Amino acid sequence: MVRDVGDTPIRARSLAKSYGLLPVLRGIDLDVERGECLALLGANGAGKSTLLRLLAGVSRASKGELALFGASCHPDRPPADVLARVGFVGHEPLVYRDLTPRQNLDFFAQLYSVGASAAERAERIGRAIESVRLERHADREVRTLSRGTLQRLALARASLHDPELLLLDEPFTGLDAPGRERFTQSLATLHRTGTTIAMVSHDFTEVTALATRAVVLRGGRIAADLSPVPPLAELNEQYRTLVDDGSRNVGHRS
Amino acid sequence: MWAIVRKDLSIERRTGEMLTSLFLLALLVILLFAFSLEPDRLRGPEFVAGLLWTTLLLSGTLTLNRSFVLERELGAWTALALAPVDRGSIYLGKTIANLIFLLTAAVLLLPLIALLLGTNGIAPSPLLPVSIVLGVVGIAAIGTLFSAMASRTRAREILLPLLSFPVLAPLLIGAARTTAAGLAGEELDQIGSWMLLLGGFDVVFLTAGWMAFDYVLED
Repeated sequence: MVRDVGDTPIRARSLAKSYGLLPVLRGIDLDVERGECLALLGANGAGKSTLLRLLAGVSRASKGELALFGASCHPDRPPADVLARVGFVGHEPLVYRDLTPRQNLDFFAQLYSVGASAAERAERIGRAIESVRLERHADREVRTLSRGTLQRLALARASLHDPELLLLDEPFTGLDAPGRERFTQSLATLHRTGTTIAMVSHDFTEVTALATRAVVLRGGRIAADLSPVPPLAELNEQYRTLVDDGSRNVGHRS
Repeated sequence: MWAIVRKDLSIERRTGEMLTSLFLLALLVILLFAFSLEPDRLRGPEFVAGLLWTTLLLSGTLTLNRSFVLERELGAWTALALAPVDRGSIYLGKTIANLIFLLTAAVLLLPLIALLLGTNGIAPSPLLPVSIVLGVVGIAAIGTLFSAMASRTRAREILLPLLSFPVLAPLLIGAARTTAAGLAGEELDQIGSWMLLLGGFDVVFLTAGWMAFDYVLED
């Protein structure tokens, strides 16, 4: 079922971010339309994760305009009804290590007001666990789980409230081949059901499999906007032309 | 807010880290006092009250550090910052959970101190629980706010006492005075102004924490 997402999920104009005197983003103009799967590419320090954190509302921009689903998100924090439409998967799983995955999901379900009753909430949590194939680990403490399992839990947490916009920061890092495959399948399913996705990634194989558009950042600015995403070899070639020689290996799995 | 409280209590049920470390640290401080001072000086409501609050302040401050360390592990802090809830309610939830831990410790420690050091001159009045609750609310309110701020730094273990002890000094004086009066069986009219000071202190810092937490949670 494809959902009606409504307003443009992301609209940024001259978005800039500095840490002290150090500029990280130097004026980003970006529109992401509903149903897109955007990959943010670039060398380390290009500003990809910073941009994603601004979009998620984790940090505030220094200058510029940012609107999510038509609501202004700068200089103020995104309003609660907008935050409820966004999911975020970060470098870390953003969960509690001393709770089980089911307890973690129950906590976040309460924060996002998922389910009208405890029974409905439990049912939604059960579905989220199934969707990322976490059934075997659902009642074990998070501290005992592998990186791949944690990443699937992170996706379950971020998608538990059916976000219309899902933001992911290097979601494939540290996953083995089967883990990547499972994670890619889960993302593809979310994208097929209408979720707009924006992800930071160094992994071009997954990018070409999932993304409908790729934006390359260099020095805090957009260096290229590729839509549709070219095939893997061509993407690698274009990327190398755009980005400094120092990052030639970026895009290849180790 | 209550989801945060339930979550913190659930983690404590599974690990027991907060209460165990709080109680053991407090016990250690009490024993150090008992060993280092002459037995004749360790008597009476004033000493018991002073020892209770010094112990709670020291062990409580060290333990409150844990409160936000567990939010930092695996990045749960960021997930809280992203949630579509009022950030002030996150502060209140954390404060209530810490209040429960500190009150539990106070309830366990007070009879222990009296038992170890003697009960001469002690005839508790209904003021005693009120003074303890008011004092512990203040420690929880300030400790939670400063623990959240300090958790962003590498020197958090040092920073929390450095930030909180000077601010908590008036509370400590008021709490020790009212608790001593409560232990000695005094009436409210004798220490009403101290009670008002404690109550006012709690309201001011709970409000300040609730308002400031939006910025504390910011990246």
